[in-house]
Amino acid sequence: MSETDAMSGTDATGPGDLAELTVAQAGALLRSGEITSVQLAEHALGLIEAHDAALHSFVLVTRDQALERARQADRELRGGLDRGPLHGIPYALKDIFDAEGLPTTNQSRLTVSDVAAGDSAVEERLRAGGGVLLGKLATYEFAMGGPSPDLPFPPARNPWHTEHIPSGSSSGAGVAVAAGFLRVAFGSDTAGSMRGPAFHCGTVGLKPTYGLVSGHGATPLAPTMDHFGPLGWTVADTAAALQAVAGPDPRDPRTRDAPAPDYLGGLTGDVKGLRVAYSSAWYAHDPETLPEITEGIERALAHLEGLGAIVEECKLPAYELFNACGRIVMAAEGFATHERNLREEPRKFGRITYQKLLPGAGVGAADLLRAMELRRRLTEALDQRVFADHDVLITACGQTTAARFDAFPLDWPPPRLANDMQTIPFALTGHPAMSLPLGFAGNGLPIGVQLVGPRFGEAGLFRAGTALEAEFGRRGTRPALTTGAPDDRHATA
Amino acid sequence: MAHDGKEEDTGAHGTEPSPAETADREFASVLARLGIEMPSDLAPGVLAGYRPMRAMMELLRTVETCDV
Repeated sequence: MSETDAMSGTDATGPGDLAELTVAQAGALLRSGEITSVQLAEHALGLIEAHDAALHSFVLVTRDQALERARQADRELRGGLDRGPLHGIPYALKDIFDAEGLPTTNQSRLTVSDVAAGDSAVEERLRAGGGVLLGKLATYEFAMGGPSPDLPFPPARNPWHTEHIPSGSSSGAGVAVAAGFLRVAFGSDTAGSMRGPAFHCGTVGLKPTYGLVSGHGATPLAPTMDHFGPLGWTVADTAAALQAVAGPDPRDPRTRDAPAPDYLGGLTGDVKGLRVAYSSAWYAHDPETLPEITEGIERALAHLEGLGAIVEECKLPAYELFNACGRIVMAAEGFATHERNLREEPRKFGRITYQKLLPGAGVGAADLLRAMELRRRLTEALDQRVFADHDVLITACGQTTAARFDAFPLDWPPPRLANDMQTIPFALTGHPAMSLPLGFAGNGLPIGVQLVGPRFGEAGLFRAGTALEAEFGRRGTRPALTTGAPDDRHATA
Repeated sequence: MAHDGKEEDTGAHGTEPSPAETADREFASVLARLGIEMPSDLAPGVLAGYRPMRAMMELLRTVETCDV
């Protein structure tokens, strides 16, 4: 089958037909023998070679190893061995995940030459699942710094407008998926580091429930807030990626000792009877929030209600409490994680990373204990007030579109945190939270919404997300940078 | 604020120190206690990060956690 044939029936305007196949479509064609994993990998590698010099989403492309894994996937599939939803599918890892024999640079001079002796749990599962690793993706330094020029690799750029940041810290993952290099990528999220790039690059980004995906072999930042998971071009792609990496791991005691449920069976768009909570209290009256975002959320809620979901307002604890609590816990844990290097080799950190990590030294034991107790109460409040009676909470993800690079000086902090994200509450409480695209703001940059669920309630997020994506997702529109096509972001509302 | 046995500094012109001054002194004493030397050119950014965090820690001291 030719690449054109493989795409017949889609309305994609993307960077190449094979890149526009969903994970499920590509999987079906791989299993029927109509395409090969080598074709998929070659196509993706060609796109990366053609366009990533302007985007910097990859810090390492592993062409030879990728093609060898693709050939192996093809042999196995021809032989009737099916390793699961990502078998033969290209993906890449944020450069904090170990992959045996490859550097894990963390975008830091401190670790730029460190080569992993083994696989992280995420990579181990993807390898066992027959996925095809194409390389390592750009990150902020140690998943904490900023889009800084004083680090080993240039910062990734937003494919919708390269003068804008893609957000971070899973920057490369957001960029590579939005640009069409990959359908899925894997990142980490301690305060919003997957949901931010997903929001600002117009992809789906899922921070799973704390403990659903193992962090073994991933560089820690704040261990009680670190989450690991997928970004995908569609909800279904993201669900397939989560299916491949979720589940218990005895090497990471944070993981839940229970198998992951099936995430792929409920992606029908049927939301009849789904119980949806919302509260606009955190964002609607904040002048920093773009009106398009507030309106988009209102349209999303109306759409779900129109499809038969039960939509009800709820009362959330004050955002300032979540934010303060989360910042204190993350600062204390981040400092503890990096204390030795902060003491001994301060000049090896990027300036912003150092300036963001060192304040954690000032969090005292009593302050941290107060924050941990408040965290418990806030988590309990969400469980009782929201998730006792609802499957999904809908709220803002980001308050505005991606900032320009020139808004970030060499030193912390930027004059105005123009990307204010409302993601930290659920990194603090551990509830699953997904950033879902809702089209574009008037300036042509992506916007989205945040869907939050009860712990281990990812299936409900995928269910609601599928329904919203069908109406608002604009999955047929790709950045003009890689398509060479006319910019049609404003073609529809 | 660090206590070194001397009379406490009440800030410029005998007024109360500003929250930023208090935070900066507090952080300097923390670093001294921990034996961490902060490069001077990085200090403004570090302190700009510590000041709002100190305000957050104060906020948490005032919250009755049973009333969230």
